[in-house]
Amino acid sequence: MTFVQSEFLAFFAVVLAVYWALPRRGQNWLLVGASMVFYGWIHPWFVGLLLYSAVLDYTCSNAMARAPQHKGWWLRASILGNVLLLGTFKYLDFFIENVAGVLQSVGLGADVHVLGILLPVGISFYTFQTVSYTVDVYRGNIAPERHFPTFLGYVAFFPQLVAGPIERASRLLPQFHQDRTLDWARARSGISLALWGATKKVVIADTLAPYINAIYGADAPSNAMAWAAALAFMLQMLADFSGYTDIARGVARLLGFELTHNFDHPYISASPDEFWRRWHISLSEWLRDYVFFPLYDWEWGRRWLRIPGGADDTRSRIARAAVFTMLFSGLWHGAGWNFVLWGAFWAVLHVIWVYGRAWVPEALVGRRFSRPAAVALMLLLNLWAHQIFREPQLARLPGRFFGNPLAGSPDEWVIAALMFTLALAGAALLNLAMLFEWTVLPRIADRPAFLPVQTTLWTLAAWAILTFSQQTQADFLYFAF
Amino acid sequence: MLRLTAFIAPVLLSLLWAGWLLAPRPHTGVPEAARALDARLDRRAPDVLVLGNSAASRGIDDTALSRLLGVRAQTVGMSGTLGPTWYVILRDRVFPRNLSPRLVVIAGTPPGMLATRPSSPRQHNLLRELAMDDDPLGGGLRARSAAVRTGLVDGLRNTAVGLLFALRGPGTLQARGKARADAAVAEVLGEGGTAAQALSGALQPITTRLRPDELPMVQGSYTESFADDLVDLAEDHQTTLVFVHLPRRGGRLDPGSAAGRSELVPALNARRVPYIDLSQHHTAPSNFMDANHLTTAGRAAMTETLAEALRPLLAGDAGFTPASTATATATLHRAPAPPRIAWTHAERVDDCTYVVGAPRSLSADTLRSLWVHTPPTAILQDGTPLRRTTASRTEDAGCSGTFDPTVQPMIVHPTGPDVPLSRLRAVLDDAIPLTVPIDPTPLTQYGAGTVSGREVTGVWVYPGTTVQVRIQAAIGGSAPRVRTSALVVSGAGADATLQVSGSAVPLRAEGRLLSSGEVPGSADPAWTVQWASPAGGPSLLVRDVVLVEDGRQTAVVGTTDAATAVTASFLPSHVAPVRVTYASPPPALTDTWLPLPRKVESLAGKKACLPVAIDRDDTLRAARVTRTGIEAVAPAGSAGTPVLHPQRRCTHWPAERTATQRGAGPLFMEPLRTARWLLPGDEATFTRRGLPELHGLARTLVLEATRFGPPTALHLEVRTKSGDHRFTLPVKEGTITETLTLPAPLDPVSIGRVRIRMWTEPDDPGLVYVTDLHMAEAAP
Repeated sequence: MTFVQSEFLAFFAVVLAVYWALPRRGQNWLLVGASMVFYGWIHPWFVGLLLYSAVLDYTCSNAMARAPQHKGWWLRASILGNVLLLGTFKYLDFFIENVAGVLQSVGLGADVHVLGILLPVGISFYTFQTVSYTVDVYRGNIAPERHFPTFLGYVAFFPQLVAGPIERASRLLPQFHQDRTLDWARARSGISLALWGATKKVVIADTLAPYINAIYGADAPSNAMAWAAALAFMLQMLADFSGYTDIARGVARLLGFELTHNFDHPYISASPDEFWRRWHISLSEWLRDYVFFPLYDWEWGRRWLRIPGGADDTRSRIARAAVFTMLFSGLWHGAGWNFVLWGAFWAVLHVIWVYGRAWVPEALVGRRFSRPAAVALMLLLNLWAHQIFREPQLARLPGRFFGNPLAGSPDEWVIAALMFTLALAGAALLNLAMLFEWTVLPRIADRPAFLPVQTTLWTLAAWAILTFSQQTQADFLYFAF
Repeated sequence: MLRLTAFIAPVLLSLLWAGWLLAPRPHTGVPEAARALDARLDRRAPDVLVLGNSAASRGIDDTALSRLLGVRAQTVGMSGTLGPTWYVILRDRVFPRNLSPRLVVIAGTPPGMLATRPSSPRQHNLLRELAMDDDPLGGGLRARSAAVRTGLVDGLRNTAVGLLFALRGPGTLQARGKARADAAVAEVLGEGGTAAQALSGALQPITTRLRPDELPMVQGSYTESFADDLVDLAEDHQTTLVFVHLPRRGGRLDPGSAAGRSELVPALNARRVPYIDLSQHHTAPSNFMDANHLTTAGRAAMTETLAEALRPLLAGDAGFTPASTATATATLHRAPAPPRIAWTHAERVDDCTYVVGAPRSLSADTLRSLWVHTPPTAILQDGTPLRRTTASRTEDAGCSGTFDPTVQPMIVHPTGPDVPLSRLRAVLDDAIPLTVPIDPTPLTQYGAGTVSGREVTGVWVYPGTTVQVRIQAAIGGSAPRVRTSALVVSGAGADATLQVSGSAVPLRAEGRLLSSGEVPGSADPAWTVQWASPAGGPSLLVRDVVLVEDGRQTAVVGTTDAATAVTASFLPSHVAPVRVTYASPPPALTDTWLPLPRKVESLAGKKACLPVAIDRDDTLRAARVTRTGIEAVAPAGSAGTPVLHPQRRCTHWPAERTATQRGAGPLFMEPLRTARWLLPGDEATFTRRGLPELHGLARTLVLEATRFGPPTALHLEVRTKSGDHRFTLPVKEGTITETLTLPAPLDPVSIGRVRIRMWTEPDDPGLVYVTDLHMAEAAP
C-alpha cells in the first residue's frame, strides 16, 4: 500500500474518520495500530523489524535515564543493534559479494552464498530516526519517552515511516503529547499538499520513468540518450521524492501533525552546500548533527588524516568531515558501488568548494549574472551526479563522462530528443508550480476568493492523477533506499 | 456565495470532464492500421480467413493454402496480437465490410486465444485503431483516461520528433513524428519499446519483489476472454469458426499452454466449435527459426497439415468431433517443495534468455570440497521445471524452455518471451542428494585427473541426459587413446553408459567410481566421448576425460596444474578467442557450408557482414569475419566450425553505401538501414510508405547485388495499391546491376505503401547479397 494507491485512500478515509472521533490517548493508539497495518500491508514480517528497532531504542534510552553512569554503554548497544539491523538487511549481500570478488581476484576460490535478502522498505529511515532519538537522549537534549505506545507511534508514524522525512524526537514526540485540532485552514493546506505531491509523483515522475528505465536498460545506450535520460532522472527523482514528502506532510497535517519541510527547490542552488540545505533536508540535517559535527572534532582524524604539509585549520577539518559525511551518505542511499561513487563525487565537490571559493574573483561575486551562472553550473554538476546515481553498470561511466556526449546514431538521437522533450515538459510543470507558489499564491492565499480557486485546482489535480495513474503504479524511488 | 462557488466549480468541472471522457466518440477518419487491413482484405475477399499473430503469418502460407484448398485463403497475422484484437478485426473490419469468409481460422496458442486484454499499451493502441465503434475492453473511465494520457504524452513526443527529425514529407507533422519515433524506439529500445524495464533488484516495484505470483496475467478464463465472443460473432454471421493450436518450440513444456488448453477445449466442445491441435506437429527444432516462428520448410509442412485438417470442414460434410481434452505434456519432474536458491547474479540478455548464477557454495554443501561447475540445481518456471540441456544455444535460442547448467553463469531460456525473472526460480534438484558420503582424504582415490592445487572440477550427467564431449584431433597426429571416469552420486552405477567414438566402452566400477581404463579413440578429425544415464538412472559426476597420445598425456579435458592445452572443453573456465582460418584452398568444412570465394573476402574487407556463426559443440557463437578468417569468443581450447547463421541476415550498412550516398539520393532501403543476405530458401521483403524523395513518377526499379553460387533465377515482386508487378532475372555468380522498367509509373505522393518481395528458386543453394534497391524516375 503506497500513498498513490486506491487502497491507501480507503485506509486513510477510515483512519481519519475514526481518529477525530477519539480522545488524544485513543488517537495515539489508533495511530500505532494504523501504522502497523500500513507497514504490515507491504509484508507482515516487516512489522517485526520495526518492533525490534523500537524496543531496542526504547530500552536503551530508558536504561540511560535509570543508570546515567552507564549511558555510554547503552548508547553503544543501541548503535550496535541498529547497525546490525541495517547491516544485515541492507548491506550483508553487498559485503559478501565484494569479499568474494576480492578473494577470487587474488586467486582464492571463495564459495559464496548470497542470502538474497529483501530490503525492508523504509528501514534506513526509521533506523536513522531511532538512532537520532537515542543519541539525543544520551546528549541530554531530550528526556526519554516513558510510554512505549507513544514511542512506537513516533517510530512508526505511518505518513513518514517508509520514506521520511527523518523526524527528530524533539520535534515529533511532543506532538503526540499535545491535543491536536483540525481547523478548516489546516485541512485545506493538508489536502493541497497531498494532492500536489500525488500530482508530481503520478503525472511527472511516473510518466518519465518507463522511458528512463528503457534507456538505462538498453544494451548500449548512446551518450546522447544517456545524458537525456539523466536529465529526465533529475526531474523524476525530485518529483517522486518531493511528491512523497508533500503527501506525507499533507496526510500528517490532516491528522494534526506537522512534519519537516524536506525540499526547498533544490535545483536553484548555487553551491554544493546550498544544494544539501535544500535537498532531503531532514537527512542533511541528520548527517550534519550526527556525522559531520562529530567528524569535525574527530581527534584521531585530526592527527592521522591531515593533508601532508597542510594546516589543520577550519577548512581542512570541514573538508575532511565533508568527505566522510558524503561517502556515508552515498552508502546510506544504497548498497552499491554507484552510490558510493555518487557520495565520493559530492565529497570531491565539497572539497573543491571549501578550498576553491576563496579563489573566486571578487569581481564575479554579487554580480547580477553570478547566481544564475552558479545555478547553471550546479545543474550541470547535478546532472553528472544523477548519471552516476542511476547508472547501475559502472563500466559504462568512463565512456559517459570522457566520450563524446553527443555521440549517437540518428535513431538514438530521436530517442534522446523525445526523452529530452518529456523532461522539459516535466520541468516546465514544476517551474510553473514554483512560480505560482512564489508570485501568485502569496497575493491570493488570504483572500476569500481563493477558496473556489483552490477547490478548482484540487479538482484539476485529482483528474490529472486519475488520468495519469496506471494499472501497475510504480513505487516511490526512495522505497529502495 | 464564494463557498457555493467553491463547491459548484469542482462539481461542474468534474461533470464536464467525465461527460467528455464518457461521451461516445465515433471515428472521424479511418486510422492507418485499419485502412491498410481493409485494403488487404478487400483485395482478396477470402473464403478462408486465418487470424493470428506473427506465428500465424510466418507459419501459414496463404498462397499455398489457397492452392491446396482450391479457394481464396488469406492469413492476417499481426505481430503481438491476441484474442481481443482478433475479435475486433472480425467484428469491425471483416463482417461490416460484407466480407463473408466461409471459414474463419483463429490460429495461435490457447493463452493467446484466452487473452483478456492486449499484451501491451502499444497493442492496445493498435486495437483501438482497428475498432470501428469502440474499445471492447470497456470504454470505461480508466480506459478513456489512459487514452487521454497516451494522447497527451505521445502527442508531445510525436510533435517534438516531427519538428526535429521529420519536418518534411507526406502526412501531418504528428503522424510523421510518430512514424519516426516508433521506428527509433523499435530500433534502439527493441520491440517492447518503453515496456522494456531495466529495473533490477531493489528498484523493482515492491509488489513484484514480494508477490511475483500475483503479477497481472494476460490470460483469463474462457468466459473472461474474447473466445466466447468470437464464437457468438461467427454464429451470428453463419460462418464456421475453427481454433487451431499452432506449435511452439518447447511449447509442450509451457505450463501456461497446457492450462489454457484444458480451459479452452471443454468450452469449445460444449459450443461445438472445432479445435484443431497442431501443437505436436512439425516440432523438430529445424522447423523453427526461433521459439515461435516456423522456417520456410516448417511453414510449408504446417500449411499442408492445416489444409488437410480444414478440407472436411470446408466441404461441410464433417460432423462435429469434440477435441480431446487430454494434454500431451511430457512427464515432468516436479519437486514437492524444493528449497529455493537465491540467484547470485541474474541478467536478462533478451526476451528469451537470462544468464543466472547459482551460488557456488551449493557444490560445497553437496560434495564437500568438490567444486562443481554445474551445481545440482533445477530451474522452475511457475513451478514447472525447465528442460535441462547441455547444448543450449547462447544466441537466438529463443524461448525453448530450457536451461544449460554446464556453463557458469547458467543460461536460461523460458518457455515464452518476456517471462519476468520473478517467475523463474532456482531450486535444489531433489534428484541430487544433498549429503554424499565421500572420504575426502585422499581426494585422488577417485582418480581425479582434473585435480588442481585447490579444486576438482566435474560436470553432472543427470538421469535421462547425455553429456557429449567433442574431441577435435590435431591434424596429422596419430589416433589418441582416451580414459575417463565418473563418480556415481546417486542411483545404480550399472545403468550408466559410455561411448567413445560411437562404440560402447565397458566400465569398471571401483566403489562409487566408474572408469573406462585407457581405450582407443579415433583417427577421425572429430569424434566424441559420450557419458549417458537413462531416465531413472544414476546421477553421475564426470571427473575427467584424458587424451593420451604417443604414450604421453597431451590433452586433458578440464584444468590441471600440469596441462592447460585442451582440444575440447566442456568446462569453460577460461575464455579466449577461437580462430578458424581459411586454409588454402578453402576447405568445404561441412556439406551445408559454401566455400568462401574471394569476393566474399573482399566484402569482408569492406566491413560488410557475413551471416556466419561458429558452431561449437552444437552451440552457436557470434562470429566476426575478417580478411583472413572468422573469429569468435569461446572457452579456451574450443574447436569450432563455421556455419551459415540460421537467423541472421545482417543489418550493417555496407561500405558501398557511403560512396553512393550523395549522388544516388535516398535509397529504397534507407529506412531499413540494411544490406540483406538472401540465404538458401529465403525471402526478403522491403517496405516503404511512399517515395517522398522522388519529384517525378517512379518508372524504374534499380537493383545492385552480388551473387554467390550457381546460376539461378531471382524473383522480384513490386506490390502497391495500383497493382503487383513481377520480374524474374536470370543471375549468375558475380555482380548484379539491373534497372527494371515498371509496367506502369508510380506516383510517389499517392502511391502509399510500396512493398518489394525478393526470392530465389526454392532449391537454390547459393547466396545473394543485396546492397542497393531503389526506385528511380527514369533509367539513368
